[in-house]
Amino acid sequence: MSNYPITEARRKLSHLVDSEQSFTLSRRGHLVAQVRVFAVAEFDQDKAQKAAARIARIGAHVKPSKARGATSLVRAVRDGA
Amino acid sequence: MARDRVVIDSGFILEAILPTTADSRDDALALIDAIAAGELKGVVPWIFHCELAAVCAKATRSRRITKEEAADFLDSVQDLGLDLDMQIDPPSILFANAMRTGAQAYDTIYLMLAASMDLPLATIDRGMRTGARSMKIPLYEA
Repeated sequence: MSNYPITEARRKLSHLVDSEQSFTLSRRGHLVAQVRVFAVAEFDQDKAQKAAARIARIGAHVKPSKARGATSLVRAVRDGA
Repeated sequence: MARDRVVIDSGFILEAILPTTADSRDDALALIDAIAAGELKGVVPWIFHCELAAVCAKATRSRRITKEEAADFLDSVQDLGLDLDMQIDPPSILFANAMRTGAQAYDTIYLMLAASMDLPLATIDRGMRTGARSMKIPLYEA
């Protein structure tokens, strides 16, 4: 992870956020902070509520299954099974 | 006003359409409703979207859901407005975290995100819950 003195980071903050996943800040040679960059999604409540309703509709007809439930399927993906 | 945030395991949200039990589906839908209502903000690591796609592909091939339903679900998750962590740790860090926590390397991506952001983790996966408890990460309860 790259490190930048605070004064330098202040000058090129916009560029750093665009180009780095995360970076640390130092002051007088000492680490003082870590900046973690997120892709912050815009929130549209109307869109989100319609999405929630669609998800509920999709799942409504699927029978619960321990062997074929999402948690087992994700575990299989992670374990390469 | 800042909303409460929670790190979401891909399996937790997928339970909404591919339930293990009726309760796990209800819990997933409750989380989704809270996000849609603006009460909660979901935070996910980069691997989240890969896992959603992989599991939807598996479930479609086994005819548990249709291709259209899988696509609709994936689009709908996008519309929930989850924040995506852009940090991709090098393999040596993932390996070290897995050895230190005793969890799977994939699991540590979620665990380290929750730990570093001091956020609860929404998961029903047993291994992930054990890892969270050992790292003193609070578990999200719907």
